[in-house]
Amino acid sequence: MTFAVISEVPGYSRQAMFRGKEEALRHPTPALEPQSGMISKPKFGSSGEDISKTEPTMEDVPFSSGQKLRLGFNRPPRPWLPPRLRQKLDRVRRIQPKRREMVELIEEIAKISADFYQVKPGEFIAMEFDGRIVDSSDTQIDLLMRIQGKKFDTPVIVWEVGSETFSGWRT
Amino acid sequence: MGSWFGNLFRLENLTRRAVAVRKKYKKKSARVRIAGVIQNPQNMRQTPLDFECRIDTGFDGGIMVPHWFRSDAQSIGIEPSITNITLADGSKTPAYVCAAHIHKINGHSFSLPGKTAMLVMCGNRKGKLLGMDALKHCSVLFDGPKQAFTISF
Repeated sequence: MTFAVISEVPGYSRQAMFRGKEEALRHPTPALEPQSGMISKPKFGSSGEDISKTEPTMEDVPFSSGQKLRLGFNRPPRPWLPPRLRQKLDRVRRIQPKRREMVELIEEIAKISADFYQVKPGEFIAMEFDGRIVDSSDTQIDLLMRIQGKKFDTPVIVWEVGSETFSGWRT
Repeated sequence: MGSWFGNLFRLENLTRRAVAVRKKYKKKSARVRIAGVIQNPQNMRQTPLDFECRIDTGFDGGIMVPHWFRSDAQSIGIEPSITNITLADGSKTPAYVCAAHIHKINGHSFSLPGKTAMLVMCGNRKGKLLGMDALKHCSVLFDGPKQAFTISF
């Protein structure tokens, strides 16, 4: 009869891994930083009226207290996401990210998810923050109507595959 | 007919559409009053939308409203989705979106459930915008010199 002793791999302590997980679970869901105010940028020089008031041009300053992006998940993200993204998500949960960080996070999750599920460019997808696609459609409105009112584990990100943004001022 | 209505009438004949809205500019911009709802299809609860907004042909979304409309949507059980949108200066920002039904544009009513448009909740300015998504399948005619516009469906 032989006995083998398996030594613990240095740097990959299970205890350390669980400690990090427990720490992440202990923290309550944070809110993102408040949204910035808009800067004045008149569109038409001739108009003395406050066109700039409705133009959403914003500086990259923290979110205002009225506009919080609450990430409702209590667990760390699912393990199939890359470690770098998991770290970012965990950071977003713990501290309030800036607007730019949030934009990058959404972009990365959307790109990884679209690549993983091999979604065709031009399709509109709705995914959770763990990258899992919950619905897809050919049009924005159809997608929004499908997911409207449904309950999901985490907030849902909507995205147009192959595009940089979902909507806005496209040139 | 020498009035601006007459000039617009001749142009509208070319499009062969029924003019639904004929208005002069207000505060030097084309503004319309819209009435509609955000509806939760799961429980059929609704929250009303009724405000004046400016027509923005550069905005490809439906309706752009300040961020505090999100709480209206949440009150009927809708958690708006998160996405990135492009702003007028070319930068990107996270925003909340959901679907809304427009019932009326300046007195012109749509048959139920109304015209479905994307509601973008972003920023903290009181001004609201009506974008191209809400104005698709209709023609908007701007008469700059006369400071007037028409919307035909």
